[in-house]
Amino acid sequence: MRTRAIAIVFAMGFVIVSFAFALDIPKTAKSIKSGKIKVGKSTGMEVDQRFHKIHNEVLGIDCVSCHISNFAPDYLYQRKYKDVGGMGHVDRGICLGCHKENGPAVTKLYGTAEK
Amino acid sequence: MVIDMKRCFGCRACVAACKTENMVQSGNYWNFVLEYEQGKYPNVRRIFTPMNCMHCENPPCMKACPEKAISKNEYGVVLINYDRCKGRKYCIAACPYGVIHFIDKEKTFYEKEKIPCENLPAEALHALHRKKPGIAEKCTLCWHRVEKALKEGKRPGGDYDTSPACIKVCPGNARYFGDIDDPHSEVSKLIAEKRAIQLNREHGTRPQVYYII
Repeated sequence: MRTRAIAIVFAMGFVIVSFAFALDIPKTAKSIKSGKIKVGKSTGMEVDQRFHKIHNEVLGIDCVSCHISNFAPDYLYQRKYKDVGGMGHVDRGICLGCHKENGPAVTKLYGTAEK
Repeated sequence: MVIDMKRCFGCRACVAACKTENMVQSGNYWNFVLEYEQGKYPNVRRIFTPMNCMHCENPPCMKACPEKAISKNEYGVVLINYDRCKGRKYCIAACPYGVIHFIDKEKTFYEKEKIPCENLPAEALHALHRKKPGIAEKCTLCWHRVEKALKEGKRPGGDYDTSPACIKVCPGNARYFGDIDDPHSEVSKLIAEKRAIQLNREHGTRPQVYYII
């Protein structure tokens, strides 16, 4: 069960990264900043706000690519116990695929692990 | 901070101390104990993992915040400026530990009455306790205590008043607090001797909370 969950997460990560490489991310980011691609001015996490518009509508990332229903029991993530309603939590391992230091996303949120 | 998971037996004294010290409202936790089972009967053990903000060296929440409301002070403590926070929740989305919570509305512990600490006027509270609905909140490493200790010339982590509330209440002595940059401090020695690890290292956030497993 756990191996299956890990395999699904990796597969999703691969799909997301493939999408990211297929798109010219820096160019898309510039277009969003300049207003050529309209994503609204409201920064927030609701479905009709910038965050979801950029990830879902502009980059074409499907909801279930990020939102997972179950974490592995040993996954150390505090908010997994909190009922947020809706689609469920996101494993930050998926975000890491694009938002790491040498990843394709323009916003580099994560660094690289020291050896 | 160093947490010895071998000594933690999941009593949650740290959770209660944090709640009381920081007046964390019902439903939110700055400090929490995750638990899960390992192994199969009859060789089963329960693992308790206390979690709080990791005060990362490279905090993704700080980079993600569109309002620049999160900062890291000179002592390495990551803090949220409640006056700047507009509740965009980008920090919550970026944190790989899930330790940032959102205050959606004011919740009191009892439905019809406020307990004394909920009745305190904002002026009577430390800036880090002046929370309000519509903002994000998280562990401050009890900065109000550490700041006071530094002002008084005391060494943070020395006694109850100069440590975060979760440290000295631990009956199993599973928590240690001190200066990680000082090679002679207890935390530095523990990290070196017991090979303490950081959680989710792959995110490159360089968390400052270490776990002895």
